[in-house]
Amino acid sequence: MAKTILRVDDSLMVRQMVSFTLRAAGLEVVEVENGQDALNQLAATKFIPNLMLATESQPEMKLKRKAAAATGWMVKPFDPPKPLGVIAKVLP
Amino acid sequence: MDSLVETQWGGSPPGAKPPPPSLAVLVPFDASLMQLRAQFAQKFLELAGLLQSNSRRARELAAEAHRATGAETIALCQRSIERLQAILAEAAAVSRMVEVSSGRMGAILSQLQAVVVPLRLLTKLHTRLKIVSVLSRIEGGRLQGSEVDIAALASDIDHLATEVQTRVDGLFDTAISLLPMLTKGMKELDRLAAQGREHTAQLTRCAETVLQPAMVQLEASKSSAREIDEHFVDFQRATDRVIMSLQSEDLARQRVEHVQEALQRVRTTANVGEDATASAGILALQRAQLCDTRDLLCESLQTIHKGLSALRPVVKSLVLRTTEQARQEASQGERLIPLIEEGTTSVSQTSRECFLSARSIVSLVDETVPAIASMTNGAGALQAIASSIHLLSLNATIKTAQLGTSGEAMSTLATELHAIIASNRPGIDAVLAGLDGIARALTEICSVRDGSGESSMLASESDHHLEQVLREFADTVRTSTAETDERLSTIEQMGEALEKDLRAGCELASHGEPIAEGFDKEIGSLDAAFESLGFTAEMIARNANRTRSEDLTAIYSMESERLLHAQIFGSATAETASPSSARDSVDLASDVELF
Repeated sequence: MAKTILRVDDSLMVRQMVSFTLRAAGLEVVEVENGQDALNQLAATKFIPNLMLATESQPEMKLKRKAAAATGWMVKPFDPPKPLGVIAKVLP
Repeated sequence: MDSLVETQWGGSPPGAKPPPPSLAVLVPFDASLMQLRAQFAQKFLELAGLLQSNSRRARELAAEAHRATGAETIALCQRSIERLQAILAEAAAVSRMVEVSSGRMGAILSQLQAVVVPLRLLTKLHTRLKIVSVLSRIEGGRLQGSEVDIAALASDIDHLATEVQTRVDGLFDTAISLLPMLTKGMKELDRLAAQGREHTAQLTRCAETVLQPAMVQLEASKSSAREIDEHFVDFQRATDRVIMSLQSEDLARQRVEHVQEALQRVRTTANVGEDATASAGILALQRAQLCDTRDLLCESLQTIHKGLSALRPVVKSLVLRTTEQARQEASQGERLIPLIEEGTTSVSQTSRECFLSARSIVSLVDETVPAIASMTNGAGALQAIASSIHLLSLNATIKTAQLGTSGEAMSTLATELHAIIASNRPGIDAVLAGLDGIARALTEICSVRDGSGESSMLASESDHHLEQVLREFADTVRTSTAETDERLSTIEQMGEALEKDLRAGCELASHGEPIAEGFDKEIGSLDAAFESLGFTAEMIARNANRTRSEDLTAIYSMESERLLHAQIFGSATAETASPSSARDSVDLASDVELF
């Protein structure tokens, strides 16, 4: 069974590009636009690696996200192979 | 004051007159900036849609190219080649079995001939033992009443004589009966071995007739598949660059949102009656942000244009090379079909004959093996006989000693038993050595027969399967060859459609003017606002002419934006990027961190 990725982003363009990249690699992608919709989708999920795709890369921002239980951090714009490499690491 | 930007956030430019608080001019910006965002978002989303559709088309094109260049035949070709290679391996095993069986049977025959002479001599052994037994009984009668029991010794010798007769005669009879059987078997084995060798050689020739062109076809198909994959990787890599550029839209959207927020902040400041001059620096930065966002989007469009342009030759090359290779493989396929068909019949026939010979050899070996094996079991009995005679001679010597002066006759019997052992020992040893040699040769025969027996059985069961595999192979090559023109026509159409879409994408990406104009209009309005706030056109122009590369920190407030700038405009473009640069070996360290 293909792995399913929940993609949360308010940018339609980024959602499209991430989904396109992941689907081309055989992953299933569920897209939502905001955090509340994401939480609704995740109700039944037990283990959720949480990858941040963000414009900011300052250490203090990363620390904040880490404290909020993020699994990893990826800077936008992303080079398509990178999210695939990261997903392979966090969802072996 | 040299530059507005130098003022950054807040504070009047040194030497400038304090601007009048006429910030109401900023009110119309919000709606127009929203329109601007929608305008470039639409353009980039259209391009994203085109890119996704092109990528799907490219994937389909690559799949069709794989089919046209015989990807489907690779599996069957591989299967047929593996089956033929297995047949050759089986033939080699059978050949080895034939050689070993023939050689070892010859050795057994020689050993057997060598064993017959001493065995014949040993058949007289029981007579000598009988004589000793009779003499012992006589001596036992003479010494009746003595404390030494000679009768038991006589009985043992008699019993041994009977045992020797049974065993040695049995062994001798087996050897004698085996000799003609083995001699006849050897002749048959030699005939079958010669036949097997001929069949094996013929099978090898037949299999290689099919194998060699099939290997060529397989390699050609694999090479085509690799080349198509490389083209597709090139396509993916160029697509990746376009995907990176398309993400500029997200950054631009965030920046324009920031500008909107900043303008809102300035307006709010004016509403609450604070000193508006403090907002001049904010406005200057927003102007710079708009200028750079405009340039970012225009340059992104250029990069996308270059990226999509770079995809066009990849598609052309893919179609062209696929056509060349498919035609070449179709031509090879046409030559291969009759070879496979001829080969199918001859390989099947020859393999059947070859394995029939092998099975005859196995049967022949199986017939003789039990008799030979039973003979080798006689070695143990011979050893036991030799030991028993030795024990009896010792027993006779002891009894001689016990009898003292009255045991002279017994001494003679003990001496006779010693003499029997001494005279028969070489014969027994010769027979034992011969039987040992026969046993070893037999083990080798059984071992090689068991090994090749399995493959022979396999060949027997898979005769039909082999034919089926080869016929399927021929049919697939035939179908694939016949469909080449149709597939190539499909590929040509797919290539044309993809090329058309890529041209449309290039066309779409090449017209960034409306976006630039939209930004210019906003910048112009902002300039007018600046002017109304008391800043000179010269200062604004100086700010507008500043190049991005001079000082990225002055333009981008966030480090990630500076990285983005360098990543998109400072590094290789889609055209110059190494096409097959490792999509698989991703360096996660630079902008990815796993906690």
